[in-house]
Amino acid sequence: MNTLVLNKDKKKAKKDILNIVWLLIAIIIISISLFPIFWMFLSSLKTKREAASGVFFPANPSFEAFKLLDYTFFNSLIMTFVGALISVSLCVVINLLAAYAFARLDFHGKKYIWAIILIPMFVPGMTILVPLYLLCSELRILDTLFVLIIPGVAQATHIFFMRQFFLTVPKSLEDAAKIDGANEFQLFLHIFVPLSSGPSFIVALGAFMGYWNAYLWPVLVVERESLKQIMQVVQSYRPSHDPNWPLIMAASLIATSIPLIIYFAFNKRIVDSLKISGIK
Amino acid sequence: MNKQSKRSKRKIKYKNDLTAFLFIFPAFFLICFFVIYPFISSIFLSFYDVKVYEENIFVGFKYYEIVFKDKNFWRSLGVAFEYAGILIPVQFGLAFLIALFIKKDRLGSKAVKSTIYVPNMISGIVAGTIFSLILAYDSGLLNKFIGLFGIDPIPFTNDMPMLSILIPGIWLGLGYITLVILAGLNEVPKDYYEAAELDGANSFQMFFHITIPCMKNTLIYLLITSLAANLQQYELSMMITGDLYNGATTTPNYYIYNLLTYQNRRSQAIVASLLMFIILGTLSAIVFSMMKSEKSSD
Repeated sequence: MNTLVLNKDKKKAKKDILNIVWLLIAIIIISISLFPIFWMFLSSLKTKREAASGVFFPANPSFEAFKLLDYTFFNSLIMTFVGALISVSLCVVINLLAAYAFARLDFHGKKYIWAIILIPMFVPGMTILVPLYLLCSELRILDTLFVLIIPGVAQATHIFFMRQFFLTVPKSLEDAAKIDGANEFQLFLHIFVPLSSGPSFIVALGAFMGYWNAYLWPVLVVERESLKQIMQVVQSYRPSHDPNWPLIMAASLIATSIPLIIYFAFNKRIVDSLKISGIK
Repeated sequence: MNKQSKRSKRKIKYKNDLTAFLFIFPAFFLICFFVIYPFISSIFLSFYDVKVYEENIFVGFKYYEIVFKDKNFWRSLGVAFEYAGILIPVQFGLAFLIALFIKKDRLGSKAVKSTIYVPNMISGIVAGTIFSLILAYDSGLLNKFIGLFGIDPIPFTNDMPMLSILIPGIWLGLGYITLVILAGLNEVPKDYYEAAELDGANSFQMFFHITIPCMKNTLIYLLITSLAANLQQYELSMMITGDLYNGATTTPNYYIYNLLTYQNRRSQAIVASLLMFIILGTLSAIVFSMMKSEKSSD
């Protein structure tokens, strides 16, 4: 009897120790994921000298560095956000429409058009960079919001991904609406769009991140101050010698905060959505 | 009867053409105009001296020769494969360990699951900035840290340039790989493990004989897509190590970027990027045919 209790106690103690070990591992993993972001935040509160000397905590944490952020920075923050919203809406609408047609409609030349639509999946962005730049310069659309948004709106990967999803929708749903006399557009709008909120969210998130974090394309096509994109401005805060680290970190922090807010607002959705985006 | 129904079917097909056209047109037009046309013209332009305000001059294979003879180009390819070749095994190993850790309902596993993806939301530019501060010689946190153990400061970005871009690279992409592997782990049928347990298999045997084979498709897909993505990395090199130090971290895209922005050598950049297309396009073709064959086997 006694030994049995003792055994139980032993087992419990063993479990407790194991739990502590697991918790420790969890804390280590979380700290590694989040530490660089925390360091960015901490450095933005330091004085220039503190940041340059590598002190861990600032003696007098202050938001001085944030005050140095100029009009160009906040203007680019707003412009990039507006551009991202337009880009996301166009991206979702255009790619969903095309994906629907390839998944659910029958038409002439479908196979060939599908093959053409997929070509961008095999062409890296760098390969078309120069000709695309020359094309836009010939069209005289450089230095406009248009050139930042439109060339990246139609994405083969998004169309492919959404088509795979539309293929899985059972035909019976469609047939019921067809009997009621709905046309293809009504069918798409009232049956397929509501069903596809999950995968559309992935497309929207991908479009947003792609636009927000873009660097090379804006650098090539935008010179006007008022159109500068956020990553362009963040990068420009960093001269090769004597960098003002608190200022750079303050700019980086604000530039990163918007994707982070989106991430934490839709945390569960994003984590769950990766399950479907992975392979299917 | 049969003929008639065929004909009416065909009629419906024709009627659908207009609807389908309206659905497809925006995407089709944009892709043709902004991707396919530039792609074809990049093949043409690779045989020309590309000028902006003057007429292009036909030069044949001149720039192909220049790129093929340019040691820096071959070096950049080597750098990219070295970078991806070290990054991917480390990242996949860590991702597997973390995924196995959060798969079971343990204390803290939920918190890990919801924070591991955070670095994926950060741009290469910002990550490069943070890590260049952490790795800095005089003020870097890492040097302060190893100083605690009495180690003299190391000029990381100078002495270990590859490591200096590998650390942020691994950090940036780990969350995505982990969560996709986790999703794959959850799809392995549980009764396989139960059956193996009855046969007396240990967890190592189960991992290599059940888990890995069941996840084969997910893993190959992840492997090839992350290979293609990491071969194109340039932002970390640009922000952390730069083009100095004999181009030890100059990847092909960074090499092309430098040709375009500093040296204004457009034609050479086009030829180099076409060669990258051959490599990366082949990788994408493998992924694509894999996805197709997988679908048909279902």
